[in-house]
Amino acid sequence: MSDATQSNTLPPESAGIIPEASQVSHRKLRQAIVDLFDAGEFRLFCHDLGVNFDDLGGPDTGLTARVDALILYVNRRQRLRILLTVLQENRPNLTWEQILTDENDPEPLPLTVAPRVAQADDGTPDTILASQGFTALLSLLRSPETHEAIVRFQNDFQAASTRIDLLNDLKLAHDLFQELENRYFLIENDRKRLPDDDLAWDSLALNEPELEAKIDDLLTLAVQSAFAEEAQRWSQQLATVREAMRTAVDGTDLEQLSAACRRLYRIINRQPSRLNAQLITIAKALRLKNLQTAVTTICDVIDASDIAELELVNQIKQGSGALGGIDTRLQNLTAEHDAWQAIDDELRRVETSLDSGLEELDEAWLDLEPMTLALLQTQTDAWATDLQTVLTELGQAINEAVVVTTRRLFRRFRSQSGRRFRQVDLELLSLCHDLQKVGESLDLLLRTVK
Amino acid sequence: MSASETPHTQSQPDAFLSLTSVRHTHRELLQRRRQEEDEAFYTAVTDFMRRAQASGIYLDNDSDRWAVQNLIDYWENQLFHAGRTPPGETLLAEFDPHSEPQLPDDLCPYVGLGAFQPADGPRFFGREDLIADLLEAVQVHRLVTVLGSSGSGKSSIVLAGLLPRLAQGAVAGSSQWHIFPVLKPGSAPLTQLALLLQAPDADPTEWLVETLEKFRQDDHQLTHLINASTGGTAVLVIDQFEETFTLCQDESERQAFLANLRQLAQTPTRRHVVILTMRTDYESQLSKYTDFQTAVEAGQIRVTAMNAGELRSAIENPANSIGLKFEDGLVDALIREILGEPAALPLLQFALLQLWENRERSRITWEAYRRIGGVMAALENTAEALFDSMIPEDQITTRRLMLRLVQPGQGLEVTRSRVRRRMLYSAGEAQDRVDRVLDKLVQARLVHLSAGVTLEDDQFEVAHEALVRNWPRLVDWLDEERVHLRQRLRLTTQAENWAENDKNADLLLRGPALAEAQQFTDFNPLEQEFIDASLAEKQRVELEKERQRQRERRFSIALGVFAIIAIVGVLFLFRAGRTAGAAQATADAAQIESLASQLTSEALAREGTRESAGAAATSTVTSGTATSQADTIATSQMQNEFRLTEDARATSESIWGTSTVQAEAQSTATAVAQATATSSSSSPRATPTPTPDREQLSNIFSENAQLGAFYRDQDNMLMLYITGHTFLMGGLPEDPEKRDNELPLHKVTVNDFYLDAYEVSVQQFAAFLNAIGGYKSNCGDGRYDCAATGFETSFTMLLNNVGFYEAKAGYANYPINWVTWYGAHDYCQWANARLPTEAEWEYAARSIDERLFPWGSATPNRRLALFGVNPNTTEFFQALQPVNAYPDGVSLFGSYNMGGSMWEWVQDWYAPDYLQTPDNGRAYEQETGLKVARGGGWPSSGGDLRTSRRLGLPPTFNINRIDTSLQYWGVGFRCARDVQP
Repeated sequence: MSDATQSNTLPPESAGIIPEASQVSHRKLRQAIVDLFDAGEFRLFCHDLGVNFDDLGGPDTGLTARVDALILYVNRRQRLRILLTVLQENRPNLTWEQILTDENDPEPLPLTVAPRVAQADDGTPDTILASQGFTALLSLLRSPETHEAIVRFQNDFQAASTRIDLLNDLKLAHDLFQELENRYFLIENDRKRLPDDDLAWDSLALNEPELEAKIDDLLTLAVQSAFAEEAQRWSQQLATVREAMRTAVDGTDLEQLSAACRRLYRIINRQPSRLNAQLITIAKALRLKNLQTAVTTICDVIDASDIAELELVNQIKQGSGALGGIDTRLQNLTAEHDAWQAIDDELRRVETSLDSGLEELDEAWLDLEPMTLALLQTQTDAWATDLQTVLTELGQAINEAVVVTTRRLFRRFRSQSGRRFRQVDLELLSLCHDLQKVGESLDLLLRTVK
Repeated sequence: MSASETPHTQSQPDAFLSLTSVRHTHRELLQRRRQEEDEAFYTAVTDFMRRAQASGIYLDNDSDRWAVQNLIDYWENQLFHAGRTPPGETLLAEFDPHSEPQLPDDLCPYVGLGAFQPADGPRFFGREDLIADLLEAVQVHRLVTVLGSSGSGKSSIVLAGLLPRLAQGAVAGSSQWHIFPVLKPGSAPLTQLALLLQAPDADPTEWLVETLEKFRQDDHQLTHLINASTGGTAVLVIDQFEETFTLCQDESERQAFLANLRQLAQTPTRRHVVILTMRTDYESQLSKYTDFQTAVEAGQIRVTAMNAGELRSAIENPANSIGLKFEDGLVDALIREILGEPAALPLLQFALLQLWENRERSRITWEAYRRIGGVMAALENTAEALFDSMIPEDQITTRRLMLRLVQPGQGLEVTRSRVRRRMLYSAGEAQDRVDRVLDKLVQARLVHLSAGVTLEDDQFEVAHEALVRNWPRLVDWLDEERVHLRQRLRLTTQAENWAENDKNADLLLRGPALAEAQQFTDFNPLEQEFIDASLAEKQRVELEKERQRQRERRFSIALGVFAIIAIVGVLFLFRAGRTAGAAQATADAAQIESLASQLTSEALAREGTRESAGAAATSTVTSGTATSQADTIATSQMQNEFRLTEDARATSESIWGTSTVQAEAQSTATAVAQATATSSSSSPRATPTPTPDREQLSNIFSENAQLGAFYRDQDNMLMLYITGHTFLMGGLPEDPEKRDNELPLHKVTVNDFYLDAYEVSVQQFAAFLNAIGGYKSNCGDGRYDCAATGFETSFTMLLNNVGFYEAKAGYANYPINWVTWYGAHDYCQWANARLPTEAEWEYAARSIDERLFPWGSATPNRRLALFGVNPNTTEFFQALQPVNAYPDGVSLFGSYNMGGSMWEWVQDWYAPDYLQTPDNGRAYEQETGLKVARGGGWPSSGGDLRTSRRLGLPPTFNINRIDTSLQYWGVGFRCARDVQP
């Protein structure tokens, strides 16, 4: 035990209160964990949080770095409240609010690996309501009837929490692969300038580290994600490509660079589609409506037991209703995401053969056109009108077999449909991110029930 | 792909052999997916991925591997998407050279010399654009004519490109159309039609007799028969339509055939489609049948040379379909060899077939390419190897058979026939030898066999005209045969001429001409009489000579006696000199001397040769009178025989004899006067007196050309003043390269005229086209194109920018090429000029000093002329030169590039020799189907640059010539103008 623990024999008035996640200083949280707990306790924290201590960095990683990795992990999964709860449970007498906040030097928590999602927002109204509903349930846990009812649905809550976690990780990975592809295109453009343009090596020297950083993000996610085991293969391949890419650029070896680019492209070409397939499966299995039914049933129990805290009961009911809205939105977004992913697969296939002829496009067009029209059917936004125009022009060019025009329009079509895909991507990513708040509330509830 | 990522490779019996086969199955899966996505489909996907993955052992090409890998990954994603587990390994197997499959012979993807047939559709590539045009044409027109040079692939486009697509429904409803088997007219086109449409239950003989009669009586008979035999639209394809004009000798049958076809295409009740394939060099034959020509003109598709991309497709796609690979760079080499060569497709196919037969497992190697000698030599090498392997008797039979299957015409054309086996047997030649040789020729794919009902009914034809152009031994045989034919024709002409001139003994055959005529046996009565009379005359002359020799012997004796008398007389006079009768004695002596001279001259005149006359004259002690007399006699005799001997060089000096020099001086004086009157800017120099020798005259003429020159208003062309004269036209005796068509050497007189100093340039021709509004059907009174079809390809220096013509950048001052005769003719008219006659052209190039080449006798070299450029290289453009290049190679008159650069059109129709051509410098106007081109072109050999070299070319589309020494993109022209119109 540390000295600090021994010096706090009497709990202060503010003891036991944990600060809001958004107020926590990363520097102070790290310092508190390192100063107030020993390595053995830290291992127990990790276990308690469902994290493998050994996955927090490599075998030679120091404790501070592992603490950082843990904070990053819980932050990405939006489980900071649970970490703080664990800390508070282990040192109930400390004034955690004071210890972890610093108005003068807030140093916010580190960004997660999904930088484009706002970190500090509270989510959509539905996710806030749902989260608040579960928190309200937590407050009513002291009632035996409520406790009993929650225990009855414990497995459902646990399954939902796990799937929300997995859904978020999958979407994050999908998004990171998209960013990796953007980096890859820069490298590929540089590669194409070689060997004629030696300056391309200078450009590669700038772009390659960016690519490496993105691969590192993916590798970190792969290790800590809920699908770590499945990600093992592609993460190994990514690690190999990263080394090959670095060696090639350092040694200005074009042949090695080309080989590395191809290997990387192959990973990029396959994994997003796989992640999407898993994401669709998990989204369907999440069954938020079942969760809604469970909460409604618990509400009925609470109503029957004459519990006076009506405000909390209302929050639970509102949360229950919000779960239905989230589910509808999730199913819609995943369906559209899936459809765009299918189009993207077709477009990728065509792109690789486009320079050697239009045969593949001719064949793919029979699928691409109806797939796209189905997505545009109910859309009236500007993007849909623009895409419809390109789609029509491309169809004409294919019929007329005008090679140059067809290629140009195909690439325009791919660009515009890709933009829409990214928009759906971001919306889904954002929803998954928001869902984590629900997951956090569920975890707290389950933790308390246990 | 690193080794660590590469899965263990092992031979996979069902692995795909090529990217093409992977793609084929991939597309089948895509199509199947649209119908069903059941368990069987996903099993098929898994199977596809496994086979595709295994195919890596056969794929060494990086881009192929990448393409296959992408397809595997695509389907892997689809399996994931469907919630299924992909098969274990999806990384393409590593290439294993030891696993390369041994492709079986029956997979051969190439057809050799023969045309692609409808069944060859799946391996016919590279003509997609043209096929699209054809599909459009058959929707718009009911008579579609596919025109192209020999070897351009027109038959294949129709047979393997169009017909399979029609059968597949490429045109609305076309899958229901009735497509008749392809017909070739042969020598009896109506018979072929009748056989094609024979009712199944009809008696063959009766059917044929009745139907042929009906065809001739009723133009609608073909329509009736087809309407009766089919329910809807019928498609009748007539391949090698030119046979209607080359093989069919019966004019009434030809007319009936054409009329029936035309009616079929125009029948109002049902829509039938007639598709013809025809060589462009026989296109002009259609003009004799106006109605049919009008019908044909509406729906013409012209087959142009394949571009590089199309050639690559034609080479690679059939190979890809069976997993055949080419070593790196080999396809590029093949393309380079034939790019722009319009008649090389059969050669390419033949070479590909040879390469296939020399493949190593599934790979075409550079070694095989070198072994066959490349595209251009493969055919020759194969034919020669076969010929060399034969015993001498078989070689003789081969020659006879080939000349039976391909017969030379009067000009450069050949007639290709399909001949039944029994017709190929010959008296005195063992039939088994004929069969043996035919088998060998067929096996070597030089001759095509169409199996008959019985062995004797088998039909044979040369696999392609390309053989006629590209097997030098056959070309020689044909040349020999052609000479033989020409000699035979000459005999007929001479016999007729003799008869028309009251059987004048002077026109009888003598010497070598008679010996030549005696080699023939199949004389008609007139010819027989002519030969007999010639032989009788020969005997008479020999008898007379014998008598003459006897007289001369007697005369010699008398002369000796006379000499003795004279000597005695002189001695007597010497002694009597002192006597009073000396004066009388001298007078007697003079009389004796005079008598001796007269006798000598007469004797020598009877001998009739300049040499003996000169020798005799030298030997006499008398005046030059006898020599002069002998010269005159000799010249007269030779002039009589001028047209009967090929070696007229001995007469050359006679043109420069005393009597003709004066005429030339007068001619020059006239020219000077005319030039002075015509050109106000300069005046040719007056001919000095006294009469100049040849060198002096050359200098004067050369000076006149410049002094009388002026710039033409219309196109700013410099026209040189050419002083007319008499000259010797034709192959010179000392010229080892002279051809039969340059003979006999004969005397021609041309008047003064103007001639362009340069070949017409691209810029000038562009201005002409812009002035008349385009080249399509805009020359020859709107009946012909002004430029050949190839003009539209990349091998021209003239650009068509949406109707506005201009020179390709940097080529404005280069000579125009691809010009049809009508284009050249109309240009000159537009420029207030005309094309030079053949005689004028040769005179302007040869001049009075009988130059072998325009610049003189020096062997052609790169300083003197542009020639010998390999047209098979894509860089040949870089070798071309402006019209004013090669100043060292100008003619006496100062005209540029009369040797090399471009062949130049002249006014004359082509005559096979100079037996009937005019000797007054005018053009030969007897229509022969060919026009004359002169001077050699940039792809020509040095020998083609000779001033006497002449070439007969089709005036409209000159791309189907037999003579491969000329490249069709090398024809231009220059203009001439009369001094006094």
